[in-house]
Amino acid sequence: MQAGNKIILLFLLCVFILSSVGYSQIEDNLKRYTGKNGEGYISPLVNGLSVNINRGWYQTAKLPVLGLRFRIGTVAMIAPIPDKDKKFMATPEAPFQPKTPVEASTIVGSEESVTVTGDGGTVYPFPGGLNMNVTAFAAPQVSIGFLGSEAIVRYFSIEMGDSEAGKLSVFGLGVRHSISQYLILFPVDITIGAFWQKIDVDKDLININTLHYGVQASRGFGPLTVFGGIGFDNSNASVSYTYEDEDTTKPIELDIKGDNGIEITSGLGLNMAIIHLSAEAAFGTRTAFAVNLSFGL
Amino acid sequence: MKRILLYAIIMAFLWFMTIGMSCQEREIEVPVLGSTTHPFEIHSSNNTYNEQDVIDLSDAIDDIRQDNDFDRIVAILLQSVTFTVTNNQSQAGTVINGEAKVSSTSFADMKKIADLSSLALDTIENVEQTPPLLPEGVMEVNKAISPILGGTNLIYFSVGGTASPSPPPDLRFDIVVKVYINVIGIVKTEVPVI
Repeated sequence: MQAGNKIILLFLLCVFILSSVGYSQIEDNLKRYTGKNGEGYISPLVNGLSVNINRGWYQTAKLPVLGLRFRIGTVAMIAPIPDKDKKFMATPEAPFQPKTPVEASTIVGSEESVTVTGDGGTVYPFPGGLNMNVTAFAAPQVSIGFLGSEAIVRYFSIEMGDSEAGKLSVFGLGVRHSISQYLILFPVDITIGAFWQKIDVDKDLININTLHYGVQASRGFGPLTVFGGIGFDNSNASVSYTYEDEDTTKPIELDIKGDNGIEITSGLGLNMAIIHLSAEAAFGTRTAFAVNLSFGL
Repeated sequence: MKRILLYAIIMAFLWFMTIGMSCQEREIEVPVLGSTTHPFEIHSSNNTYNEQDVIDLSDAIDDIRQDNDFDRIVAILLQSVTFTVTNNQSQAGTVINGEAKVSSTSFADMKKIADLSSLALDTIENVEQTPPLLPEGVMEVNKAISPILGGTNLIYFSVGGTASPSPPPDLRFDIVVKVYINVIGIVKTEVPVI
């Protein structure tokens, strides 16, 4: 194998492993919670991931009207976690008394547990978080463009840590269609598109569905492409786990609605023969960044 | 110039996706709730009762230790103590009063952990009761289960008091005591950072 290929393989391995880091601990921490506390604890991670994975779908709005365009590559995405997401108001659960709410760490908050002191000096502790500053994700992506349209697929699946932790998998589909092909001498390329994704963490522990739809535009300047878009992020998640103590087994089902809203993307791409590099920033309910490396026409 | 620009962008890209997005170890404090139940059989031919026994929390703590990938345990603390009256065969309308006491060392030096006040056995049967706990009793339990203080995980526990009206022919019920503890351990995991 050539050194160049080895580097690419190593680099792909690194970003995919990065995608699973930390997630294997989530279920163990969640098991301490029932109901509302569980939702407050996990929501910031779900919301962060939802915004995070909706990025990096496109590098240009120029789609081939004649012929075929095939690209294969990798998208890496990160979303900084705002400080407000690191704490939530948690309430001690029965039989602990009193049930006084306290500010506790969310799954992305401080590693230190927070304790509530109750009757006679008894203590109710809430678990610490993973102390994360960003959510990060990476996925391989394939796109095929023809007749002024494009279909995009991203998929990967990886074991998390050990066999007990289960799998982390992502599957996404996107379609775009060129509008500018109908507009003679229009100065920029324009497409409309919709992108759907599903993330599964440890089978049914976390299932996230996201949908992004909007308008994209781009203009080429030699090897550089300036691109951007405006669209709407929509996401929801279901979280399923079992709360257990010595004589209680209680299935917990949480439905979490994402921080949905308008987002604006701006990015810059570099095209050198079959290599296409791009970086983008997206601003909306949260800020996210993505880099996209693809090979093809 | 073009080549320099290309290399610069590729380097920035690779930095972002590899070194720039690296992993860091986190030590997370994770509490795990455990509990042990212990029945006390009350059988008295007069209007007083007094039962004592040792509640052993070793199994509950060992189970938590085995089921969780703790790097180390930092604390074990009492969360609550509840009791449930079961198998009540006492005279209808029997009301009990009394107290629950604990010790980390022996039955000789007991500290009160809860009052049992005006409990109508008919109405509270099979319903878990959560009495307010008293500081001296809580401290005694925490001493028994503290890994730092070399606790033995044994709680010397007694329930005792009086019943009214005086039971003809006898006072007969069980009190199932449930002790909830939290084992706080450190779990190591890696998270992405930039």
